[in-house]
Amino acid sequence: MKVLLVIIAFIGIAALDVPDMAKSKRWRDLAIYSVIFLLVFALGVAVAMGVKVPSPIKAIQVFYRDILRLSFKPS
Amino acid sequence: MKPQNGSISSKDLIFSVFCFMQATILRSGYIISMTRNDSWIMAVTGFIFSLPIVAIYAALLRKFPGKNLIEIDEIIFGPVLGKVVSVLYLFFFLSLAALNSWDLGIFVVNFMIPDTPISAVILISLIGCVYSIRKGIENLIYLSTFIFIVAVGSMAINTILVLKDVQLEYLKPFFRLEPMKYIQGTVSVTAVPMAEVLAFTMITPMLEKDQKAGKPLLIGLVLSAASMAIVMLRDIITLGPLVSIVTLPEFEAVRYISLAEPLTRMESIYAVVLIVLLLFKVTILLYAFALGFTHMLSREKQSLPNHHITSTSSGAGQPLSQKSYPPLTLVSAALVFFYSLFVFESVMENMDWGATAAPFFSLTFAFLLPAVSLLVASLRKIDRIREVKV
Repeated sequence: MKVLLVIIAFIGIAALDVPDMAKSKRWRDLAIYSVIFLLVFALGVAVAMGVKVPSPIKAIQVFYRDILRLSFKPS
Repeated sequence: MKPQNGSISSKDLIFSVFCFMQATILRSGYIISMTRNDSWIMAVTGFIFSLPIVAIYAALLRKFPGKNLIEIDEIIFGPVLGKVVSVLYLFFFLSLAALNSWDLGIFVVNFMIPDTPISAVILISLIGCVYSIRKGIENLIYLSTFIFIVAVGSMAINTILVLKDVQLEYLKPFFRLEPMKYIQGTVSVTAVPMAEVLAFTMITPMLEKDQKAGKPLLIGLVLSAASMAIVMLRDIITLGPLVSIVTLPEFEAVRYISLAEPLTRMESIYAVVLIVLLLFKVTILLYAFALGFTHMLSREKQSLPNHHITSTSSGAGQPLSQKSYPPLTLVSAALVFFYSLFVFESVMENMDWGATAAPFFSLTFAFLLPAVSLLVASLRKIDRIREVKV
């Protein structure tokens, strides 16, 4: 069900964004847009399917705290 | 896509900065958990240390008038390295948008409509943000004057109404914590709320001709720091020792208001104001990300492809209106939405992030990178005049 909602949402996004680019024949923009669109769509499907996507913020926290040693001690 | 020059005035920018900063008040709980009854001083020291950061932004924007941060990077570092630096800034804006969306979602779910899925709250909020960007970010900036009046009015009324419950002795003892706590508090205030005004370097090209960005940014920060100090002071003298235990002291302090039967539950009104402020902030961050993203992927340096032109009138001879919204707004909002769903698993993770690594993360993007950009621009003697000659 969640995946279906994501698919419907992305069809809506494409319907709003793509016609302008296609009408004005901005093919390069459309190609770049399509790549970004598909990447975000893949992320959306993964989240909707319950795939545990690692949070970049947690990776950054580990990077600053354990590698750069730049972190305050929690209160 | 390029913002329309001359769309906003300095006054609009001042109020926008204030509204943007005021939204962060929700996240001041972790500052109070560090510096307890001395937290209000951190708003002042944090502001003082944010002055050099604002000076760097002002110097960069003065060197490259009419350019936003992403365009400035490409001029200073060249097309390849400039794009690398731009990607870093975009990641910063994206992360801030996701973090603030999560803050908004968790606040609404925990304090207003429990048991509602956070994803529904964030989704509806982001639809609102996209709507306001598509209607023109300058309209939202104009609206900041009204939001400013409502926010300040709400803060003043709540502070006055809570006065009967305050106890000034809660402020004592002064300066009894370890010095490291004050450093931590000051750095946190400087880095997390204050330095986030970096997002406005994507909007300042919209300023009216001959208007400098530095002064409005500074005045906006002064107003925000004063407001933050007042709110923290109010919370400390209202809540006492509880202030460092509760997750949202600002909200809990307002819960004390109970003058008569009709004047209870004032926190509901305050919550609505906070939601509006958070929506404002997320919209600015989403716009900064989507605009930067569009600029970075654009082939042309000076003007980007999508000056989305739509006819607003069917009548012949009517002018076309230029909707200056970034074409990647919807996809960017989708990315912010999914990112915000897995950014944190609990409020405790958020508090831990805010109190430990977040200040250093923010300073990397909001202080270090702009400082390096300004240094490189000065060493290479790059400025707008030379760029035009080339």
